Amino acid sequence: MAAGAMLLLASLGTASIGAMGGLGGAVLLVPLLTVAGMPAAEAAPLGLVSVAALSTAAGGPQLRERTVNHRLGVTVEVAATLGATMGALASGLLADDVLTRGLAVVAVLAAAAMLRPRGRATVVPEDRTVGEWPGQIAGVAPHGDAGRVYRARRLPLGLGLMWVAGIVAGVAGTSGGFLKTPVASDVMGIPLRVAAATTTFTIGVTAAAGLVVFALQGRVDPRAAAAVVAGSLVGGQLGAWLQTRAPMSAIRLLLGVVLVVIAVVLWVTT
Amino acid sequence: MRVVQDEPFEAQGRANGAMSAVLQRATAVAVVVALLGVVLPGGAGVAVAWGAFVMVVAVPLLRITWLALRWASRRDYAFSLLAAALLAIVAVGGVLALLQG
Repeated sequence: MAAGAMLLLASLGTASIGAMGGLGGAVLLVPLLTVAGMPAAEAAPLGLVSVAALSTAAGGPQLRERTVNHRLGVTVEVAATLGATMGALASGLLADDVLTRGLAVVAVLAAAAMLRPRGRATVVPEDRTVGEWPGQIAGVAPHGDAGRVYRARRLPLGLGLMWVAGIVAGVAGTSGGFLKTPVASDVMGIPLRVAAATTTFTIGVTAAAGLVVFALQGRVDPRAAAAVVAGSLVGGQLGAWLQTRAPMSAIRLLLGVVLVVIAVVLWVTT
Repeated sequence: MRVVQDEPFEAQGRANGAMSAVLQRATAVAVVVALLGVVLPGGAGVAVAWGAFVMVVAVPLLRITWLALRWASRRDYAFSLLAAALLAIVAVGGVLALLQG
């Protein structure tokens, strides 16, 4: 019970902070649990539980805004889920110090995603209905009071990079969203708001695929998972609420620094 | 065999609204079930905790299933097949995990 309460608080805190930076909680939760002494192989399934819970919680509001492109999500998710399943299967065979060092690398990548400068695209808004188009990976993204037409490009490269993001998620137990959103926006040309909302949808599927593997391998502690579900769902909502009330640049800088510190601690203690 | 072209208009709005409502209810139920799984003692607590776990795993997969059926009904067969392939990959991963023991 005491361990459950600690896990609940840890997942609530990491989900709140992670959601404020648009990063999710797992990339903080898994390293935190590992630094606290939990083997990386046990922490990874709990990280994916946090990812799946946050994806479910965020899905409702994003669907109402019509910012999720399901056709894009399903297409890239075929590659990412393949990677996540392969990663989850491989993680059962890897030594714990290899997993921990891998986690340190993931934390550095996430920090880089947090700290990189964000450009603003110049677009010409059109008077179009916001949503996705059938039969193709394209649609209209919200842009002020109007819409911005977009169409996915460089699909093979995008799918390859999504497969890599899936492997990262399956091995490390993090969402891989910090890789997926930049791939969708910068490589595939999807507007950032649609890319971020679609990533939130797809990380839930990636996490579910990894969790099916972990559960069938007997690597899921149900009580610990329940504590993480409760903490992540409440923390995710709290973080989304706080996000609108705190300066975004300061949050991202703070998260980036915290992730670098976590990476260094993980690397030197392995 | 033409893809039904009524999206992204009213049909998509209604579909998104329905899915959004389901996800919000699932979130509320999952919080309650998960908290019960943490506080209930013994085997009952473990069973309820498994319930919370199954919920967060099942919701994204049910969403993909729903999309596959919806796209098939609108003759958007390419994306319907992709969604089915996605579910097949998850199933194959489960079988491989069982075989790996």
